[in-house]
Order: sequence, then structure tokens, then C-alpha cells
Amino acid sequence: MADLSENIYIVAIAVLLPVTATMTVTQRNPYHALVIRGILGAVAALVYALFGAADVALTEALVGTMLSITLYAIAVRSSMSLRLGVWVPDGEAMGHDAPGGSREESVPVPLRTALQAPLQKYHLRLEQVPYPSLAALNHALQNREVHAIYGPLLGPETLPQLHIRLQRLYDLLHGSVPPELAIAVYTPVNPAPEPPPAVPAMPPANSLEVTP
Amino acid sequence: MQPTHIQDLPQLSVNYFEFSIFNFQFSILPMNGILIAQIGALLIPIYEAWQDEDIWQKMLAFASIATKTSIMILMVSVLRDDWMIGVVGVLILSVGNASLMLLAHVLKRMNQL
Repeated sequence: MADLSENIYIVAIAVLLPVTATMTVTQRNPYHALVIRGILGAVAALVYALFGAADVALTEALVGTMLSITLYAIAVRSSMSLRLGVWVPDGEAMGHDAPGGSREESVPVPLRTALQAPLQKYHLRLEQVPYPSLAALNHALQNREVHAIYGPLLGPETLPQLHIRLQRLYDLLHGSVPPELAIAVYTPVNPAPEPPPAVPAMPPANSLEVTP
Repeated sequence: MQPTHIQDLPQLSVNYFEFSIFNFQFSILPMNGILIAQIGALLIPIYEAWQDEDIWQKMLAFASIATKTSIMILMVSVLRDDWMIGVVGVLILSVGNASLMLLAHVLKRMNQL
């Protein structure tokens, strides 16, 4: 009985570990999963310290929680985004150095909100990349620097176009682009340049054998 | 003024620990009760982190849990009179806040760009 009364809180704390682990794997949003991973790390450090492994608890808190969460947050933030190249003429671009200035106005707000709705379903961010000229904009799309470009590419008298170079992104977005604001166009770019010719194949192994 | 002798002072901490070692039923149980209450308090932010979809509410729950678990580590270290665990508990208490700050900065800048 004394053993049980001493161990009951150890059992109760150890049960928290699978509970938080289940919470971690059932998250759909990667950022939410990262925060829950921090909670799991805190509970794990508690369990380790409870069983006397102070060094393991310290490592879990320092590396497993602090370092890995920060690195993963930066990785998720920089990879899960749709890079949209926009045309910002030179004079306008000079005017703002601070991020989030008039760069926001390069894509009209109704179109931006229309694009963000389907993207948020897949936890993607809309990241605007400014380019000084339409030629540079086209070049960036051809070079795969951006996933899509937006601008009056066919001339000033038509509606601005949204050129998307990826089939999957086009399928996601073309339904939600308002037809009075822009025209969504699927623009596959040329396939990647051919890799340099491979090193000639090694001769068969048996030809290396010294024949008497 | 009567000088007090050292042996007349109540030796609270020493008596307490001897008492707790040799009488499980009556001395450890209240401390167990405090730990059980702390576990119950820990369940509240865990539930909050589970059901709330706002990322900042989840961060709040994370802050609450990180602090509560390190306080529990300190509690256990006092209970067992183990300084090694106590030092680790203090380090985790300070480091948990640092990781929270880093993560909050990354998340905040996510909405700006």
C-alpha cells in the first residue's frame, strides 16, 4: 500500500506522455503540431527527471524542445509558401524599405483574399516577391524562382493575368480567382535542362579480372 | 536577553525528512496529494491546447505547461532531497521560456511577410 501511494503520481505523470504524443500526431496544422511538440517535450522532461535521469531531461529540454522546434518552425515557414512574383515598378520599389510596405498593394486586396482562402486550407502562405520589370517577372517564372506571377503581361488593355506554372496549384486556385479581377492561366515552363552526360559506364566486372 | 541554544531550536527540516522516510502513510501522502493536484492543474492547459484552434492560445497553453512541469520537477527534487534534479529543474524553468520566445518570434514574423 505504501508503494502504491508513493507510485501513484509517477503513474499519473507517465500517462501524460502518451496523451500528449497522441495529441501531437493528430494535429493537421504543422504550426500547431510544433507547439504541441513543445508540450510533449516539457512533459517528457518531467518524466525523465522523475525517474532520476537529470541529464536526459536537460538534453530533452535544450535540444529536443528548444532547438528542434525553432529549426522546424523556420523550415516549415520557409517551405510551405506559394511564392507569387509581382510587378513593382522601380519608382515604387524605391519608396519602401520596410517589409510589408506598399508591396502589399501590388496585388489588389480582393484578389489577395480570394487567393488566400484556398491556400489556407493547405496551410500555405502567400509570399509576394517583387520584380522591377515584366521581363524579369517572366524570367523568374521560366527559371522556377517563383510558383506563379501576376501582372499585365499581355498588355495594359486586358485584365491582369495570373500565370501558374504548377498543375496542382492551378487546380487549387483557378476556381477561386474572381473573373472580373484576373485571368488564371496554366503556364507550364520548359522542362529542366538536360543533365550533363553521365560518366561512361564502368566496364563489366569480369573484364577487370586478370586473365592468364 | 536569554541566549538561545542551538539545540533548543526546532529542527523542522531534519525532522520532516526523517519523518517522511520512516512513515510513508502519514508524511508522504500529503506531498503526494500536492503532486496529484499539480497533475490535475496540468490537465487544464493540456485540454486547452487540444481543443483551441488559435495558435496563440496554444502558445499560452505551452507556456503554462512548460512552467508547471518545471515547478513539478523542483517539487520532486525537494521531496527527494536531490540537488541534481533541482538544478536541472531550474535550468528547464529558464530554458522553456527562451524556447517559447524564439517560437513566438518566428510565428509573429510569419504573418508579416
